[in-house]
This record gives sequence, structure tokens and C-alpha cells, in this order.
Amino acid sequence: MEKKLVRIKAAALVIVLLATGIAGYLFREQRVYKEPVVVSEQAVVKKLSDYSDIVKGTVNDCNIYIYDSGVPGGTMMIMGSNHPEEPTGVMVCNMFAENLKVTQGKIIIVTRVNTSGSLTTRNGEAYPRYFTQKTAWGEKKWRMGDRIGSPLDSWPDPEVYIHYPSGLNLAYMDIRNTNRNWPGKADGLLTERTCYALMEVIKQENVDMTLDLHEAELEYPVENMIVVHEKASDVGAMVSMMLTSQTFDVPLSMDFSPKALHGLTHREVGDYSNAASYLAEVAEPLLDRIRGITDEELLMSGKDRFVMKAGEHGLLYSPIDESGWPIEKRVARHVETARKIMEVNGMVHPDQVIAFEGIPSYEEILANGCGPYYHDPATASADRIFYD
Amino acid sequence: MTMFQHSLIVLIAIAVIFALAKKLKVSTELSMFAATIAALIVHVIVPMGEDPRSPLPFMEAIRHIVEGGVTYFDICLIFLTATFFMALYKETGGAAYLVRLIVKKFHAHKNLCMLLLMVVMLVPGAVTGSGATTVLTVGGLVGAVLMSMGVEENKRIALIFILAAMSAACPPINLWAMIAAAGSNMPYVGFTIPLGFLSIAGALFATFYLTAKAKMPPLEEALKMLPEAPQGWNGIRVALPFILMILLIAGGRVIPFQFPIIGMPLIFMLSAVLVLLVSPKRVNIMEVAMTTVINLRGLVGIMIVVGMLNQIMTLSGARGLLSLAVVTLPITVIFATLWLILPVAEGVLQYAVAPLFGVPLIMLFNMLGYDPIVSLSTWAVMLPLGDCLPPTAVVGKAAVMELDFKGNYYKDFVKTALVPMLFILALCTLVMIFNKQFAGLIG
Amino acid sequence: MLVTVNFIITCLYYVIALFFLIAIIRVFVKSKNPQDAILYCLIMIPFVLRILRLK
Repeated sequence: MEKKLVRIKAAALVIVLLATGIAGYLFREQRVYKEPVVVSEQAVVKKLSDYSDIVKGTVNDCNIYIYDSGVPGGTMMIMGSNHPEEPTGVMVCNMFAENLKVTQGKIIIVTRVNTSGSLTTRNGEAYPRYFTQKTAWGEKKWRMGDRIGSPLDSWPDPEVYIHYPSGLNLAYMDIRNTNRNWPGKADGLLTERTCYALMEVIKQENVDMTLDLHEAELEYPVENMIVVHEKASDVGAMVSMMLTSQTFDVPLSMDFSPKALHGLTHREVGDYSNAASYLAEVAEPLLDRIRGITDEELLMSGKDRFVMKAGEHGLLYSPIDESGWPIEKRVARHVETARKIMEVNGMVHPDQVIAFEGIPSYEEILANGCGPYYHDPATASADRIFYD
Repeated sequence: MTMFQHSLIVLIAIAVIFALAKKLKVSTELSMFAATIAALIVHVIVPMGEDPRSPLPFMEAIRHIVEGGVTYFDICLIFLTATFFMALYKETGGAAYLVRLIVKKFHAHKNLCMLLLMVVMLVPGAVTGSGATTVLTVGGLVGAVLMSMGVEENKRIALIFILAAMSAACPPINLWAMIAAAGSNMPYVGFTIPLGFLSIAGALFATFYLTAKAKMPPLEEALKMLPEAPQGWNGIRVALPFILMILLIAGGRVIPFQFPIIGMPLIFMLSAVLVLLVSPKRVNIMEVAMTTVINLRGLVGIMIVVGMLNQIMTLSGARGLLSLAVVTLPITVIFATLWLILPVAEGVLQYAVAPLFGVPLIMLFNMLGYDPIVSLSTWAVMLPLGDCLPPTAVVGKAAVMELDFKGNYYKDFVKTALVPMLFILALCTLVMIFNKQFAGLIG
Repeated sequence: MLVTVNFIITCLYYVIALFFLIAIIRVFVKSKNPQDAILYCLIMIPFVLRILRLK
């Protein structure tokens, strides 16, 4: 009996340690995986800690890609991966970072706002660890992250997160959510410090407008929409109207940033800097709680029968059919939204004109996919390769 | 085969294997673990529907199981540290001293005493959002006082459970409401009045309904029922660990921007260290920690296994199918059945129920023009009542452990708790149906 | 100052996790019930992953 017990215990321990070892290896692999970015020739790449050393030595000391034409004009900052479980942001930012040539004004790209969150998957959501895009030279691979930062970089959470400086009570885990921590806190936890440092970028680079790229579940009312700070209402309204009537098959609506909801880019960047803040949302069926099988295929194709069924019952804020919400369409919408904001803003504020080349149009991305717009790090010169 | 059929087969496999394992006298936690493994195997071998799917390599399948097990790690740590703190408090005799003190002071004033006990029970859950924390910190103490006040065993455990559930529901921290609000990008603002009204009404009803007939024995007899406290304890020593705990929690609220982020587990551990410092009796810390682990194995084990099950259900679409089934019900059916669906789902999924049902339901109610804050508040008060239901029964199990309850779990405990539970569920359902009128009433 | 205090608190959390992992291992070794022993193994998983800074 005693021997049998020892055998059972030994077997259980070996199996559990083996499983933990396998999973641990995969977790580690994702945490140390670096995403190469082959920047265009105009890029000057700085670190976030160049603007504020409170993030120096942390995983959130991300690259800041700067494309300055040297010709007076406006400055725009585009942010991706504020929520790393929404892959379109980083894909759009990579596309800009790898192809951009600014001819008037300045564009700043932050590909991974919440790097910490991109180094881990979301417990309980069964996400894939990576997502890939086929290109002529092979597959380009990104980390598929959590919505919030990793507890390996910020532990513990408070029992309730009290947003600085508004005092708004939020769910405890939102202290690791970069889109609930703006304008940041210099002596706070990592996410609060990250947002503080990013505000420093906005202030020191005299940014005129910021665009924060997101994706949302189709059950969520803020869907296929730009949310704008009141400073940006005129430009936002025109962008929404023009893209809806001229370009997009599914309308891009506009809403104002709610004044009671704190910590988000569209509220706090506008309130605490000179920049006008925009946040763009596009449909990502993988985020719906009513989704079916969860895998990379769903993430990239955006095709899900359960979500379609919910649509039949009128439960969604976005249309969805057999063709789903493929990644090309999601990327194309965000690229075009960014372009249109800059274009309209230049008309409304002639001192803030930004002109650029090299970025594919909405139609080109839909026709060619995203693959052709990413470059092969194996053949690129070493001084043009940076890692996120 | 369609994806609907695939996910349905996974759900059936979970139910069958769980039932089979239980029949073979396997513990609830391991039965659920077996069901999780079965669900994963079925997901891999049964065709996944008409659309193309990504491959699921063996190592990734293992990763999903392990990753699910980490989901509730922070909550497990709160359970362990809170219980460790109180176990030290009991082991050193502090708890016995405190209970005798309360009985001596309040013996002559039954109703006042009951109200005080209700407040003592509501506070820990209200500030932490966890009913299990309430039971594990003050449940044993309050249970002992109730015993000496002549409240019979079944009513004692029923009351401890309901007050713990209401404490978790009570503002300022209601985790279900917070998680669901965060998931639907709604600020956690405006919940205090609806949550406070529903949870305090429920707590008051339960307290007076379950203790109305209790006959208080004379003081000497009441004191005889209680264990003696070791020499050396006094009022200040006994209060210090709780004062520290309250100060650390309050510090984060009163001066949040100047105060470090301590978190509940460290607050409990610091309070535990203070118990050791003020206690006149020495104890073996590792022995107490091991007893804590043994007592909590069911509770912590189920949280880890539920996390694994939830992840595999999500992977296979089974979770989505359940969620879809609820939100596509006609609204009248939702009104009529949520009082049952929510506690049952809580019993299965714990806090995971908030994003699973809470978020789609908020979206649905929002779309239908109902008041999302009042509606979410009603669900967030109904949900913790499911914490005495299988398979997890987290708070129910904690209450059994803390009160050393010897009766039958269902026939004695749950049955006794049924009337106040139904009262709370009915109240919440009424407020949910008349959500707009209620919202108008509270401005 | 606050950053340093928060860093120390984080370190204390690893100590707490290690403390309970040791308790779980000792209980596992002493356990006479095979089902409980298996459960203790499962309970170890998140503690091991966190202490090794893997998840």
C-alpha cells in the first residue's frame, strides 16, 4: 500500500512537472521573442527612456520611431498595441515604420505601447501565442499578448485601482492596462510610469495629434468608430463622414470621449497636453465572449459562426457575414483612418500639414494583403533593423 | 459537422466524464480535472466544423491546460494568506480571547449584537470583493459568537454564508460588477447605491430571519461553550493585528497616490507577523502554513482546476456556446431565469462568469435601452449566492471549514439558507425588471 | 522612493509564494491520500511558474 502511494505520488509529480516544464518553456519563448522591424531610411529610432528615465531598464522601454521631414508642419503620434490582444495596432505601426517617408511635418510611431502585455498571453482566453503574416520572403511573426501588462513586470495589483489623478475607482487589474493609466504617474507602478513617459514624448516632441489604434468585440457599442477628444471634434466628424461616404463599406462612426471615463488616451492626452487625441476601433471577432473555437485562424480571418449567430439575433454593433473581418480589412481601415485624420487636420489647421509617401492605400491593402508591405530582416542592412 | 455540434460534444464530454468520475468516488476537483482533459482530447479528435482551423500542436495543448491553472493565482494567494493570518490568530489564542470579549460586552443586547456582527461580516468582503476572504478572516469568530448567542448550527452556517455572499456584493468593491464594467468599458461609477441597497437589504433580512428564534443562554453558560484564551492576551494585543490590517487597507484608499500598492496577500501576511509579535504564545509557523494548505486544498484546488476547465472550454468554443445560449434567450425568459442561471454559473465558473455572461448581458441590456448600472448591480448581487453551489462551492466550503460544520451540506446548510437566498434573488429580479424606475428613484 | 518601496513589496510577494510552495511540497510529501497528493501537485503549478518568473 505504502509503495503504491509512493508510486502514485512520484508519477503525479513527474507528469505535473513535465507539463509545467513544457508550458514554462513556451511562456519563456514568448517572453524573449523579439519582433524585428526593418525601418525605412528616414527613421530615427529613440527609446522611451530618452524622454523619461523612469522606464529605463524595464521591458516597457519601447522604441520610438521618428520620421521627421525637416519641413515645418504638424506632428502626429500613432500608437499600436496599447492592448496587445488587438493585433491590428502593431501591424499598422510596423507597416508605417517600415515604409514611411514623410515629406512635410513629422510622424512618430510607437509600435508596442504596452510591451509587457505583449510578452504573455491572457489567462483563461486560450489565445495563440503568436500570429503571422505571409510575405514573399516567408512569415512575419508577432507576439499575441494579453489586454494588460504581465504580472511578472507589475506585481501585486491593489484590491481596487484608483486612477491618478481623477480618483476614479477601476477594477484591480486595470492598473496594468495602459489604456486606463493616462496621463500616468511618475512614481507609480510600471504601467503608470509607462503612460507618464509617453506623455513626455507627446510634450517634448510637440505632438499635435495622437491616434491610438484598437480593436473591439462586435458586442461592444464602441465599434468601427473613432472616439475623439472635444478638441478634435471638427476633424473627427469630417473624417468619419468622408471615410464612410467615400471609402469604407462598413461606416466609421464618431463619438466624443466621455468626460467621466478616465485613464484613456482619448480623454487624458487631450486634457493633459496640447495634442488632440483620437482612438480608432475596428471589429475583432476573437474578442467576443460568445466566440467559437479560439485559434490564430479566427484571429486573422475574423470569421466566427457563433458571432454570426449573435448577429442574426441583432446583438451586435457591427455587421458580420461569411467573409468575417479579415486582418487586411482591419489593417486597411486603420491605415486609411490615420491618413485621413492627417489630411483633414491639415485642411482645418494649415500650420499642421503632414505629407508622406510609401504607405499603401485602403484599396491596395485589400487587394494585395498586408504581406508585401513588410520587409525581410534577413536581407536588410543591420543598421535598419530594430527589435520590439 | 458544424462548430455548434463540435462545441456541444465537448460540453457533453465534460458533463459525462465529470459525472462518471464522481460516481467512481473521485474528488470534485480531480473529477473536474478529468473532465478538462477529456474536453481537450474531444476537441482535438472531433472535426471542428466547416471553416479552416489552425493546428493545435501537443505542446500548445499542454500550455493551454497549464495556463488556465494560473488564471486565479492571485485569488488563491488571497485565500491562503487570509487563512494563514486567521489560523495564527486562532492558534495563539487571540481569536478565543476576542470572542469572549464580544460575548461579555454584548450579551444583554441581542439585536444590537446581531447588527454589529452583520457589519463585522460585511466589511472584509466589501473592501476586498471576496466572500471567501470574509469567511476565512472573521467567519470563525462570528460563528463562535453566534453559537454562544444560542443560534443553532444550521442557521449559523447559513447566516455566515449569506452574509459573506452579501459582503462580496456590497460596495465599494464588487468584483463581478467591476470586471463586467471593465469588460464593457463602463466606468465603475454609480454602483454604490444599487449594490448597497440590494446587499444590505439581503444581509438584514438574512440576519433577522435566521436569528429571530435564537434563545440566548445566560452569560456564564455562553462563556462555558467557548474555549479559554491563554494568559497574556489583552484588548490592545488582540486588536492590534486588525488595526494594522484596517490601516493598510485604509491607507490605499485615503491617500492612494502617496501610499504604496501593498495588495491583500501582503496585508494579511503583515497582520500575521504582528500576531506573532504580540502573541504571548509561540507557535510553529511552518506547521500553521501546512495546516492552512491542508484546509484550503479543496478551495485552492478547485480554483486552479476551474481555470483550466475555463481555458479548454474557451479553446473549444464550449464557453462561447454557453454564453451565446444565454444572450439569445428572449428577454422575458432572461428576466424569468437569470435568478437561477447566474448562481448556477457562479458555482461552475466563479469570477469567470462576469466576463462570460456579464459583458454580453450588459451589451444586450444596453441595446434594449435598459439601465446598465442597475441591471449589472442586480446580477452582481445574485452571483455570489452561487458560491455555495457545486462544483466549486468556494464560500460554502470555506464556511464548512471555518465553522467545523458537521451537518449535511445540502439538507442542513443549503436548505436553511434557501429562504433568505430566494428573498435576495426575488428582490434583485424585481429591481432588474423595473430597472428604469429604480434608476429614476435613485437619480 | 515609492518606486523602491513597490519594488521591495514585489520581492516580498516572491517570498510569500515561495513560503507557501514549501508548505505545499511538505504537505504533498506527508500526504497519505493519493487523490490529495495529485491535487497538491496541481496546486504547485502556478507557484512554480511565478517563482521561476515564467508566468
